[in-house]
Amino acid sequence: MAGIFGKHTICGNFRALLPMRADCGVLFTSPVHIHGEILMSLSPEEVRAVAHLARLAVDEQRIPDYSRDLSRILELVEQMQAVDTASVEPMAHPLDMAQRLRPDEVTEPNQRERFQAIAPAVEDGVYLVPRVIE
Amino acid sequence: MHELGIAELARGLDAGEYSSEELTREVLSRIERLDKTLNTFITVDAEGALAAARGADERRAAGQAGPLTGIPLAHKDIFCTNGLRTSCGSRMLDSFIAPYDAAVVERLGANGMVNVGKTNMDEFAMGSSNETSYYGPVRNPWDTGRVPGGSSGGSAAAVAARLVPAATGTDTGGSIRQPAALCGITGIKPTYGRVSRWGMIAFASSLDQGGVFARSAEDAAMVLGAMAGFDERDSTSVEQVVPDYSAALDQPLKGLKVGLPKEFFGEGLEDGVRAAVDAAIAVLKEQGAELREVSLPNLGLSVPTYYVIAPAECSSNLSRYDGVRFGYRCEDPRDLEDMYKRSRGEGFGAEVQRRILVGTYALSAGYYDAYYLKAQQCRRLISEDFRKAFEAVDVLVGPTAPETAFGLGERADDPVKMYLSDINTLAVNLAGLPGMSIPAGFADGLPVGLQLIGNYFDEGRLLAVAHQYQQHTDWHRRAPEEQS
Repeated sequence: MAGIFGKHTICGNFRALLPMRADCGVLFTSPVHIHGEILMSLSPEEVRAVAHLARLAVDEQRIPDYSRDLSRILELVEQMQAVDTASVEPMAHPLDMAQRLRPDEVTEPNQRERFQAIAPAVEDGVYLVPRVIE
Repeated sequence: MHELGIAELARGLDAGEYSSEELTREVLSRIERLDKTLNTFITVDAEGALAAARGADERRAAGQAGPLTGIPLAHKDIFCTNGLRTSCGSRMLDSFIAPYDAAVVERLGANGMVNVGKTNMDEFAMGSSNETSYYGPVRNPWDTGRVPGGSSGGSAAAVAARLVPAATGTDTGGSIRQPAALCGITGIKPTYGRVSRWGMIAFASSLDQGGVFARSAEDAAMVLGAMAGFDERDSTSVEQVVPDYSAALDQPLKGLKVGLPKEFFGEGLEDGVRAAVDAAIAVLKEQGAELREVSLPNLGLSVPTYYVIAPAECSSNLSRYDGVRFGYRCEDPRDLEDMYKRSRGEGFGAEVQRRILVGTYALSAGYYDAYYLKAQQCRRLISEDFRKAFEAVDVLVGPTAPETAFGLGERADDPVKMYLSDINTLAVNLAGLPGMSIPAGFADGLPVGLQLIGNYFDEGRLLAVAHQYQQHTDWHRRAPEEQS
């Protein structure tokens, strides 16, 4: 397994991109209240912070446009705040159905070679990524 | 042959007037001749299609042909096709060769349909004009200076231009119904969970649903019947029997209770669209349908609600594109984080990036309750409006889009204006109901769509109403002039 100590290393389960609720609240300013209405906008710095959370390299030249577009979108979305939903049960599934369960059995055959044939970089059956352990 | 619908083509194949191979060659030659302008296809699979057509001809010769055997169709490039590029309209998947078939592809293939290729679409199905595709915009065959609608714009325009008799699509917020309306064809989005999402690239998982475009309700019924049904590989697939849609088309309209949501007919509805829709409703009335005004008071909330829920789910679903296992990887990454960030930054286009950013923001700490939770509550209110309406009526009817096809580039720089194009379709996805768009005439030479909305699992009734309407009108037979 030359990969681990060489130029590359194995990438394990990758969870970093899932929405992260716990570790990012401090990055943003609070909604601004003017004349009793909430006015939301996203500054260029905030756009950069969100882009980092999303692991998205955003072109510096695009930041002002995104700041404007995202502010407009948030302004549109603010219309929801005018509705009283205090006693409304959130709807997560359009048919209000629960997830179907299946027996905990192995059902998928191993197709590693097939799946790795479309990977950007593999070696000895493992996916290669830039080194993360010095 | 290109003027014929599926039912007529099936009769021709059965009678031996032409083979599926001849039919498929005709389809491929029309694509070759006409698609340079329209850009409806991302990938044409001539070799695979001809092989499938010859297989269909053999099955027919052996007496094993079903009603769809040997009929060509195209798949939206969001459905995985084994061994054939599945790009989802994105640079991210430009070189992605799917290692398996989507359930929809599998089922229609098992029914003998011949896949001729993969149609153009807004990148990851995010758009209402087909302008966000990495492969360039699709042009509306009725006016090549205008958009075909989106996100399934390639499928809709290909069917409208008579390149293929049917094509698959997906509808997360109107992506089948709105392009069907703007291109003047028939399109149906079934109830959420009716068609398997297995192998259909995910955008917003609580809203995504596959469906079909065709020239008529009769043709759509045949294809939908073949693609719908329970699939244990999709955790949200519903265990419900699929009725024989074709057999149910002849229900008369007499006594049908048709609800007209007044919110569909308010401000913002173009005069020409209003006139066409009013005339279509008059046809339903002449055939014995009873009209009732109903109200969906929270309909206006569907735009803000959708534009929280869809981006939030998209930001989560699209986190899988990290440059590791498949898809685009940037050149010479400095380190792992640089690889993630640049692969995604270079692989995704601007609209996809905007939605990932909005979704990431809406799900972030301190904002989850104000956005995602609030949107789920509004979603319940919107859904309740439909529940109440369906206590009084059988179907709801109105304009699919408040306007006809807009010009290429006209809204590309204003996302909010683009989002408002979907005002009449989003609520149906939020509620999970089946919806349909059928041709209902023209305004200034451009097609107008009539939207039919049904109760849960009532696709059969929508198809029957559409079929009855199409027995008394000929809008669905109108084809655009060819431009090569």
